[in-house]
Amino acid sequence: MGVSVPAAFAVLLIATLVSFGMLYVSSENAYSMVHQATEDYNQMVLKAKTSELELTGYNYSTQSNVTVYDITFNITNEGSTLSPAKWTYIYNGDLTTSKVLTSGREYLLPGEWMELTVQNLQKDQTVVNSLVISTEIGCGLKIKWKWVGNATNGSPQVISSAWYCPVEG
Amino acid sequence: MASSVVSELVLFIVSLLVAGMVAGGLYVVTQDISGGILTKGQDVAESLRTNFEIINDPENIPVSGSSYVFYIRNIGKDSFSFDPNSVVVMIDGSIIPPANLTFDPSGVLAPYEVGKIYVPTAFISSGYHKITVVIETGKRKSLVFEVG
Repeated sequence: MGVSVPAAFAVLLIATLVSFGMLYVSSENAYSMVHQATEDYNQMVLKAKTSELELTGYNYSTQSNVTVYDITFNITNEGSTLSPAKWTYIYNGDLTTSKVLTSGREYLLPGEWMELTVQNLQKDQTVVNSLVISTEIGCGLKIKWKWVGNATNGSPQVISSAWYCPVEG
Repeated sequence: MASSVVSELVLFIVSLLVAGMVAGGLYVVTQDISGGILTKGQDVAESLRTNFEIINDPENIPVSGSSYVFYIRNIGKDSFSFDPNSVVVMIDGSIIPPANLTFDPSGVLAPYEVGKIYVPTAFISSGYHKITVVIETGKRKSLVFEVG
């Protein structure tokens, strides 16, 4: 009886310590993973909330003897830094890579602006064109415009522009 | 005297065996719990890092052949599975059978990549509708759109 109880107690004590150690390590690892992921998530949400693009101007180029024109939009970053290299462009509903010309810059810093040209548009005043500039955060700038006038004398006119983030409807 | 030593020895061995069994049980249960904590942590972290958006122009849903095309952009930090077996698509709350859906690319959607989901036009009449996409982590996004 003299050594049995202390020996059993020692075995149980060591097992308990090892168990607590294992629990601590796994809890610490899980906490670190969740904490890091929460930081990333907060960064994503914060970036979405503090980003905004604005249409600050536009011009066009054409010739009177052709039926097509190019329109160039001036896009200004009114929020956090964005990466135009990661943007996608949706012209009249279709994802496009060839219709839209950009400068190919990697970053658009707060307050900076860039030009974006949509090429070879028909001078058809019955058609309302739309372009969605979808940014890397999921939010986008939508621009709608149409040609006003006839093929020899006219110009494009922007109807509306809106910065929006898709939300659960 | 000799019997006392033997009984003491037996008692010692039995107490060690009992303690060892209890310690073994404790170890197994603890390992199970710690494994569960780690797995749950990984799931929560993955869920937080996974995000996407439906980026279509709500007024212009493109048609390809006999299907409407919906653009899904991965805006999260991790890739996620992108195929009919791991993504659920609902139109106005009704699930579109996976066999009717086509995914491009079919497999995995990497961060910042844009994938396409082709939904047969037979499931969408003209007017306003809501598409809801649910990925494997349970994250869901909806878009209200109009087709002419």
